[in-house]
Amino acid sequence: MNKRWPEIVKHALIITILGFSFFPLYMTFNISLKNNKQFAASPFGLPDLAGLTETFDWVPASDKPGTYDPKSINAAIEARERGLTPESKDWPMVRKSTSTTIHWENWSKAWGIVGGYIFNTVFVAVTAVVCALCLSMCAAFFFARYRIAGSSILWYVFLVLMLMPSVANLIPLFMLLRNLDLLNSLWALVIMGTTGAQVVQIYVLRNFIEDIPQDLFDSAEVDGASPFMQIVNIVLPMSGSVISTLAILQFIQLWNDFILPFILIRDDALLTLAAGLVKLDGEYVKMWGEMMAGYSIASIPLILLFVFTMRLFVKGIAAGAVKG
Amino acid sequence: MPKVISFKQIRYRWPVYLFILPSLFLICVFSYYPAINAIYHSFYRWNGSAIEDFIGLDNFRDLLGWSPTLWTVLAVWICLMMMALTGKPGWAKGWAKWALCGFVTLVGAIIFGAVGEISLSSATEATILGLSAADAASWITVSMVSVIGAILLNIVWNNGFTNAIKVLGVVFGTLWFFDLSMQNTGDKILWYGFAVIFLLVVANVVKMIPSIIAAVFIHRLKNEKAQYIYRVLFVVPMIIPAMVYLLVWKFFYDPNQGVLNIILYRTGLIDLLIWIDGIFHWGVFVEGRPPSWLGDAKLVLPSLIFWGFPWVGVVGVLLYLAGLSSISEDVYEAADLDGVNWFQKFTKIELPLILTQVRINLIMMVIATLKTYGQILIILGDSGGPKGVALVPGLYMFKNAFVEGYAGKACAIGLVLFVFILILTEVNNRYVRVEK
Amino acid sequence: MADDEIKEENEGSKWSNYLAIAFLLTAYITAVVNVIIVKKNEVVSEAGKGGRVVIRMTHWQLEAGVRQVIDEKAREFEKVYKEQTGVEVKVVQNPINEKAYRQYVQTQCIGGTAPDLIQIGMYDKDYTRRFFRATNEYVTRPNPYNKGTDLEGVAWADTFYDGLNGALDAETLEYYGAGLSMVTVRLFYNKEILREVFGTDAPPKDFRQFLKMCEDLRAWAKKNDMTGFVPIAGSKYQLNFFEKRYTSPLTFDLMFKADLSYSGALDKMETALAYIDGIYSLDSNQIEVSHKAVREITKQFPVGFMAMQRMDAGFAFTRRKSAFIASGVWDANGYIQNADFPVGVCDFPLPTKEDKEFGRFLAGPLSEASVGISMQFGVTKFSQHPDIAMHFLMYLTSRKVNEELNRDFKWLPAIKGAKVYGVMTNFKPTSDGFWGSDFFTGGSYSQAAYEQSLWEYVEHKTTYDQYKEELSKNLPKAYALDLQRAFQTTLERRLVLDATFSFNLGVARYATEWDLPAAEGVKLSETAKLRQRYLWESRISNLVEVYYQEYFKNLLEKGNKMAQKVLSLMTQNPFAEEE
Repeated sequence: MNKRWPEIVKHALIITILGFSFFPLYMTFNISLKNNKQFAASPFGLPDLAGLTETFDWVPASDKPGTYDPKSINAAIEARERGLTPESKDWPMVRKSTSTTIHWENWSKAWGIVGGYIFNTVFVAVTAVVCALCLSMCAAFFFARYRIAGSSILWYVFLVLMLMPSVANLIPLFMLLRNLDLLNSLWALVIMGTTGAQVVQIYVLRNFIEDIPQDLFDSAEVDGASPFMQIVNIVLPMSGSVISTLAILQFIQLWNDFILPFILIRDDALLTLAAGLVKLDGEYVKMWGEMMAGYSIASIPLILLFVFTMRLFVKGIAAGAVKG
Repeated sequence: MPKVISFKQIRYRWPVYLFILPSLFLICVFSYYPAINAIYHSFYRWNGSAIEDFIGLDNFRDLLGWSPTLWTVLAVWICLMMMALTGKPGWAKGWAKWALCGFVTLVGAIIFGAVGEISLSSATEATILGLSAADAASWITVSMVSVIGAILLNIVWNNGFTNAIKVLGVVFGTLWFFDLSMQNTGDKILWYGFAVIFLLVVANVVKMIPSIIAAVFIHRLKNEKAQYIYRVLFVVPMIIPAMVYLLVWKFFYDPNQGVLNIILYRTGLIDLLIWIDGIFHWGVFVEGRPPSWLGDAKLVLPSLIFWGFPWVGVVGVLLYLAGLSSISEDVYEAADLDGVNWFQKFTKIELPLILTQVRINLIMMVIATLKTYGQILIILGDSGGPKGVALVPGLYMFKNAFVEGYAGKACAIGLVLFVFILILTEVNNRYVRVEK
Repeated sequence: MADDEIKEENEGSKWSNYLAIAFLLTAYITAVVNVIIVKKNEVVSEAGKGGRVVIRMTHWQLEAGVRQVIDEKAREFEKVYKEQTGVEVKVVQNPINEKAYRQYVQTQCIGGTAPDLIQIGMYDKDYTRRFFRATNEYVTRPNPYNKGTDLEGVAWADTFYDGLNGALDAETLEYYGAGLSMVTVRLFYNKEILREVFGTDAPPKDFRQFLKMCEDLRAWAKKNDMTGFVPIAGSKYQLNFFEKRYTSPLTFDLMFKADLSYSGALDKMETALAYIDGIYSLDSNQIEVSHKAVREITKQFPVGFMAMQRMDAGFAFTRRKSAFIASGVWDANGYIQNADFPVGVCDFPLPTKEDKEFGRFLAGPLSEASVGISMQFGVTKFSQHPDIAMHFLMYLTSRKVNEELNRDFKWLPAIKGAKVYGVMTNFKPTSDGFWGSDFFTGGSYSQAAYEQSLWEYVEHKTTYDQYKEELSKNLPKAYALDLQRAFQTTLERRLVLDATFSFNLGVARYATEWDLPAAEGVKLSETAKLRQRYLWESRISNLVEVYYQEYFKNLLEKGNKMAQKVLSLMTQNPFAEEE
């Protein structure tokens, strides 16, 4: 008895903190299934399950006092302006949802807005991750394996970048990309994603390759394997977990990247997720349900990624953060 | 051992350079060139395109102000403090701390004598920022700088030098810094921005604590299965994209339909807040108007600080857990036998083990906070919120470059920021050793 | 040991690894396909070669309905244009919210990737000249989409209510784009509440009655225990309308005196100079009375309204937390749609002549004759198909389309003879009366100083005397900084103008002697001569600014104390270079 109480207190405290952390997630999902009216009526409760089976009704539009539905009133007023009467055949019908309806259509509408952003982001993130890892693997192999004229100077060229904050570079970078005709192009984001990840990845991979027994390389060289073959045959098979950790970290970073797309991308159709969500947020008429559905959809790919790589993730972030 | 390739062998081994070429090319073009270009253009009046006039140091003079006395005093102070703290060079070891002491007293006396008081409010009569740099900066700097100075010092330099002198040196130095620099002709908005950043840094230091607590509690659980489950669960809310998290919180703060106000009104907590407001006369919580968390100049900074409650960061928790996992069961059993209570266990056993991680996190956080502006841009727009209360230097730079069209000035702001971060990184590399 | 663990883990989760890779690959391939499709759909190819021409337009009008209506009209235009010319056009709309708009446009203009059509405004005037195409050649020709109406054959500019004056840059005499709608500001009210309290939903007739109604509403709300009800929904945004509406008619004679350039309006430099000269001050009766009128209104606003946003005020009105709200025609649609009660619209009730306190200074109603056309779009220099963009703009401003457009926006049409529908008739501009002006804002610094003091005054935290004291303490320094900046730009601009002027003079004189085909030389020379006329005009407007400068110097010579103080507060003497 004496020993169990402290355990219960610990569990309670952790669960409380978890409750607070999950609260935004819960609210996002919860609101994504409601319309504004339902949200105002019951902000915290989950939607009524009865709404799953009920469907929408089609009713004639009405502008009688007491019809608290602007869509219906508007349709009716417009119809009157066109000279119709409620008795006529063309009188507009409006779809009416019951108070318990679960608004799954929020999700389909949100997908229409966010879906394109997600595809763009996946394209940018995956391409950049693959490019970055290929390049940094080669560079890391160079630094780990060879001592050649200039290699230590070059190493410092990379290392100094770690100290350099990117704040001041933004404007000249913008001008540079303009001169290269890369504005409003996803390739600009791919290139910047690749460049941005180089330093950390080379640093981590160099340490990793240096820990591999060098005899392996020497004997491969004797067998006539080119350096490239050495990377493919020796380094790659061993480095699964390091590479996936680096890939995941870079992927998440690109998924969240906001400033560059915000500045570089002009067209709505080319925006990436983070910048697209910001744009969505700026609209006047707040359809909370649709917005929250959009947020939920935006979170799903990362959650899926997490489900597949859970172990790696929990370990990798800790390990990656220690080194980075 | 890495393979050594001598000069003679380069003739036929040169292809290995190809391995590094693409990476080198990328960072030269997309990292180094913009950086050098930014330095170059910080000496120009530049609007990003047609107008490009060399104006020498004018940008920096406009930003930092030109007061030889101030900068001399600061330079001497920084030199003395570095000497006293590092004990280098050897010849200064004996007297540097006493010189620092004397210097602090002397300049302090002069300031008190000449100005009468360390009055930040007198500095900013022209209240361009509305709420005014003066109001905010005075209380922010006076109260917060001492706190952060003390915290930073105690965590970063816990080797046996008399702490009082160090704290005094840092606190007074920072005070002069803000006091004098706000009285000279420099850009007040920039200095105000730095004051805001200091406030945010202090807040972020406090916000590190819940992660530590959560990690310790998870670690102390007896059940290993539960430990793992909690660890995974802690990751889940953080795995949602940062942008979504940010926007959801922004929605929470919405005055009419935001969840925060709904909670306040449903629980009646708002009445309590109105009552407290009645005592202190803040004028932010009043009957009949929902508090506008991000629209009220007085509420913006508190809202930004409260942001992300309960402040448990996934990286933090996992890092600390990794550090804690090296404590073996025996240590706890031994401690139990000695009758050590739970709090002493924390201070004596757990804290020392995660101190390295805490320090790394602290420095990373300080640097990240200095650079921050993306979030504020999203939450409050490029004006930095009502009356520009949250116009941090990074955002000020962004605004100058992309809204006002003063790209040259923006480059100069970036450079000033860069120097600040460089100093901090240097401090990090020199004093915060990662004990492996 | 550790290696074993990793191996074990890898074995255990192998199937999930494959699944993850398969999942990732599918997602990636879909993404690539999607990106390619988007690229293909939006690709810009040369007009007439069978490709599709993409016209992009950017605006900040995110109000209810606007985007949908423009989309609808864009689809119609695509069809019409294809029928006429055979070129396939796609109009892509890209609305940006107000907060980010300025940054977006500046960035895109600097980057040279700006959309074809941009809503003009929110950024410096310079930008219009630098980045937009002048449309002078279009404005004198008839709008082809007006064919078949009585506007056929009428010059495009003359089909607008304001003769396209709003799109004219007064300094360069160039037209930039055209506007789609007229906007006016009105008072909205909740008919249901008014009927319940007063028995009739008639709006207030004069200022006193308006105030009285507000008091009655307050008492009614208190009696019915409606916590949180205030008569007028307010925010900083709403304050501006009331300020403008009640300041201008009460201060007209001051404005008349302060108008140094006889232009009929006060520009920023005039405002500053007139204050320095003592033509108006915080002691002027008119200024004091107009401030009091505004304060009477803000008494009926919610407490702490200056910290509230435009959306909050609208929300309060549509949720019956207030009976009145002031806003422009652009909010009408949103209010009417979101309110579950009938919304009434009326003009701002002015004080009567008999009013003891305010009547003395009342010059007459505020004229909306110069309200101008807004939602103005211009074609940027980066547009690859400026002619098609221009045609789209002309399509939107043809009478029929403009009429429908504004009917669906619930705004006011910009084209002569276009019908105004339903509730919008209340918004028709009144041309009777005076055109007023702001005081105290002689530039960004003085505006900031003014707004800051006003903030506390209108929130009933300071008395007029305190307000006066604070503002008159801050104004000299603010005016010093504003005037300094203005004087400097005047000088810079004069130099630029002189250079351009002499260059054009040279071209006009020598172009015929250049090594060019004769016809081209003559054409160049003619263009230069034409340009010279424009330049001469803009030189005159620059000379007005020089005249202000002389006026200021004159004040100094006369020993005006305020002028000397302002000069001493400038960080650099703007006249130092000349002497």
